[in-house]
Amino acid sequence: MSMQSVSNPPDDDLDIEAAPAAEIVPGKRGTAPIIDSSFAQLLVGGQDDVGGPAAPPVQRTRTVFGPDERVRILDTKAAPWRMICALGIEGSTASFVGSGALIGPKTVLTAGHCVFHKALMGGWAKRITVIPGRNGADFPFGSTVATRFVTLDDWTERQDPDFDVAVIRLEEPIGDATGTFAFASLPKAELKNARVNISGYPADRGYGEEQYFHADQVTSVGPHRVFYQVDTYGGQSGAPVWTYRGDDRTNPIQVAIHAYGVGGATTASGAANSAPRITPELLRQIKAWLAEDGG
Amino acid sequence: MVAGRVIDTAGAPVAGALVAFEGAVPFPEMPLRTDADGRFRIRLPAAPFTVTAHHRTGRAAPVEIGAAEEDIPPLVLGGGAD
Repeated sequence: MSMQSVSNPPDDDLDIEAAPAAEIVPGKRGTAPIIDSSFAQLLVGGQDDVGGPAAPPVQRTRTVFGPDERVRILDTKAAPWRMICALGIEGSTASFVGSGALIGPKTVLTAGHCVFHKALMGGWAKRITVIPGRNGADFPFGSTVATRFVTLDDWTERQDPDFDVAVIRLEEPIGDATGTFAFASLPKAELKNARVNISGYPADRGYGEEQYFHADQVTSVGPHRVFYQVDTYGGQSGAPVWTYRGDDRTNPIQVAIHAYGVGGATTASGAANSAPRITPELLRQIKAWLAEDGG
Repeated sequence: MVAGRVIDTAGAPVAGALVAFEGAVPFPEMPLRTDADGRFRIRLPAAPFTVTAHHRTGRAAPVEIGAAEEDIPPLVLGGGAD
């Protein structure tokens, strides 16, 4: 049975940029063995100094910028890769692939359109198969079928890309084994030029079955979305956009939920992929969802 | 509503291919799977799109469709995998 969450509507007067400090909900390490992974050297955090004038806006239809720099993750039994889920989404008339991230033992954070889309699915998804750390035919933490989903009324009623966020509610606490992402509302000053990581299950490489990763810099920060030229492709909807603080690379902090390619997303910094940003208000909502799931 | 079909070089339908859509408007990065007959139907915003199909047996060359098109030419999977 799918569920709807009645969320607080967005407050346009809320001065998101006035939020003085980051608010972070910590993740958990998980009970599965800690595995050293050579892919950990790919992870990025902190911020870059960017100088020079902004590039002029360019309208593009590609979501991979220049040479494809995505890397296939083979160590999906290691964190943080094992906390990232391949999604098999069944709508009323078609099935789709997507991605998500475990933020609680029974809670997967993903894009709103992975659970509800009027045009693509005729409304709510019927069921979603969740496979954490999927690596081709290998399901290192098993899989589970979910039928309970929650999203924002700004998404169900207006399909507003700024509020394209949802959670999938699991019957089994798979996140106890894999561990979970921390998630945070970071102020614009900390997000601007932040180095972010995105990993998910694209269709073009791996057919929604293999995890691919890339990292790059945030190019622009809006009130409700972050923009970046991290290479992504269809199937990575719902993938976590995460960073690290300082030199730490063991505590991934999700700051946004990847949802869109470059279509229509021209910014002063040029064409970019984008994700709804975890604002203070959205953070409160996600915490509430997590609490309802017992996380 | 836009309809299409994924076939192989012999003209046989390809079930379970992933069809991705990239456009000049915000659109979810969520490809759909073809049915048992290799067919798919999707409601797209009124804008140009690039449509590409992917399968372990190959990849179809991208097809550009206009804002008002309803029938996509067959997406023919190439001989090599991605």
